[in-house]
Amino acid sequence: MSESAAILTRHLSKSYFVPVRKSGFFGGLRTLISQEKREVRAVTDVSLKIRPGEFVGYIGPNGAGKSTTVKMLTGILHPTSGEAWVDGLCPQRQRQALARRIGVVFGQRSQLWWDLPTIDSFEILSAMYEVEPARYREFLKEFDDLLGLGEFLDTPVRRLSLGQRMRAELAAALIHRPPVLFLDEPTIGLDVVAKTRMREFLRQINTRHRVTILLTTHDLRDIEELCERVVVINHGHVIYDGSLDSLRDRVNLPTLLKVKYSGVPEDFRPGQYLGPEGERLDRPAEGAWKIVSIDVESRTVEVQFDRRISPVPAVLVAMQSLGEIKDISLVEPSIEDLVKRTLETPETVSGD
Amino acid sequence: MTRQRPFSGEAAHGSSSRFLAAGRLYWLLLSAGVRAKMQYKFNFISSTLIQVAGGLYDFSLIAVLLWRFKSIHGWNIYEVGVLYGVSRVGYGLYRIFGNELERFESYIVRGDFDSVLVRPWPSLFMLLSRNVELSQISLVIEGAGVGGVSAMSLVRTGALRWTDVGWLLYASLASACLYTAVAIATASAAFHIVRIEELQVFTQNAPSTAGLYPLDIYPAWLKYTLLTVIPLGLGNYIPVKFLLGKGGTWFNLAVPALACVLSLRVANRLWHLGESRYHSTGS
Repeated sequence: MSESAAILTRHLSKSYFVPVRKSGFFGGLRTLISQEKREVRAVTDVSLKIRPGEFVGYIGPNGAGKSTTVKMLTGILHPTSGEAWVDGLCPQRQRQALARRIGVVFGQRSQLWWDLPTIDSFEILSAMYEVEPARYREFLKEFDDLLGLGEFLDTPVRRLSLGQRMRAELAAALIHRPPVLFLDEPTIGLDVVAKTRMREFLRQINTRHRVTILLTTHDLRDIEELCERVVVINHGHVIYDGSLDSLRDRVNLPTLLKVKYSGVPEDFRPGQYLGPEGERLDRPAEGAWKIVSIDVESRTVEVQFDRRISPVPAVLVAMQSLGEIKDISLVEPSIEDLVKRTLETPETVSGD
Repeated sequence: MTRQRPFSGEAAHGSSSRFLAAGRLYWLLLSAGVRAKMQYKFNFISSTLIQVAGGLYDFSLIAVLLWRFKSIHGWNIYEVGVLYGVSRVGYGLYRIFGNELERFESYIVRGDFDSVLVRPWPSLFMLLSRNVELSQISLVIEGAGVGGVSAMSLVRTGALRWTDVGWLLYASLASACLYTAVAIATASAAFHIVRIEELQVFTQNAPSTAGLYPLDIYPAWLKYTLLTVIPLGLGNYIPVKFLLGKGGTWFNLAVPALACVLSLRVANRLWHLGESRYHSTGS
């Protein structure tokens, strides 16, 4: 395997066999005794090369195969075919050795001791990973500075807020200073403040300690703010591998702006286009943006535009000329939109 | 931002200090489990008392029968009491230290086994050290009480020697080991078939209850099942039978140790085979 790869996979695939469900009378019983099985391909032919220190976003809709890939890379699942190396080790044959070289956070599954003070979890984990006492004290100090652990070290895990618990989970995953970190939906359910803090921490860990990070998320902001590279997976296949900007360029996803006025301007109607100066157009034109919906009751107008051609401030200025703005919000495209458009755009897979 | 030392992981210690590290970790994990349990003291005390009451009720049923008929297949009440005590102490020790195997189905159904597999230790070690079920000490107390009183009566009548008490303790430990091996083998099936609650009834619960009494009272197929496929009888019945002068040779005392080694090896193989088939759950 190549020494310059922190994570390397070649044609990695994982399939399951599930019984074929029978319909009709006694369908349940017939399914139970039937030998007929159907192959479900969770991950198909995934080849990736992630260099040390890279911060990679691994995104896709629910059931795309993200978690299955992460589980194969962490030694939890055995691939049906293909190979994987993480930090030079095979996750299946060298699972225990690999566990010392990786950190894992599953956003929906805790690795802390629920009924005990948070510090107890750190002490148990430091013994589990055989961390020298001096290094453990160093860890507590550094992570208190970065994550503010000190404020809840003596609080039982079950009493922590979700934000505090995720900070503790991240610290727990890094107690043995692993060079590779796998994060499976670490920001799920967090509020904006907690997300921002977590992103800042991840950026620092990546920069300061050159930790290679593979992040799966449903939040495009995580990817935008953290990842220099994004890998998109759908139905088990990698459909894009490259930068987020070039993905945006390729799929040309519009941004949605919601503007609330003190009174909805008259003669607005959905489907209309607005020119760069806010003038009404009946057909699409270069640099024009589209009125998607108008809610008279809430006095809100939604417009769609291409950020590459029309910068957000310019759109806002034009919208302001149409009435007194009370509130605005920007809705970025969702991962699902991104994947849908990626699939519609031919030949999107790139990367190494 | 200044770049600091890159993270490079923590290396494992050498084999001798690794053994010490395993001991320290096991102690830390068990004491953490006990402290967690003690957060709910009422639950702990009440479940212990209920277990003791249930166990004594079970034994009282057979005691009443024995009192009425004096003996069953040549075993008097004190001899049955000794066998019952050895089995119960062994089962209690298994339930204290191996209780996570009893609820292993939920690890598979909920995908909690993931968090066991990302640790730098053998998965079975990590699983067993996750919890110590202190309330099951009631089984040990009950078994030691019934077995102790019965053994003392037999010592007084000369049917048992004082030195044999050591062998009875050895048989209890071997029984604990065999219960654990059977439970590991049964839990391994969960990797393939997921739901094992019913299987546990056949391979663990029913054989554990059957093994409390002399195997002579059962039909031949059941007796030989408990001496081969589910070898719980090799840990209690075989040595106790010899110690009470009901047949056998000194080899009967070697059988429990040999059975433990063999059963644990087989169980371990089944576990590793199952582990490689683990499917986890969706996230």
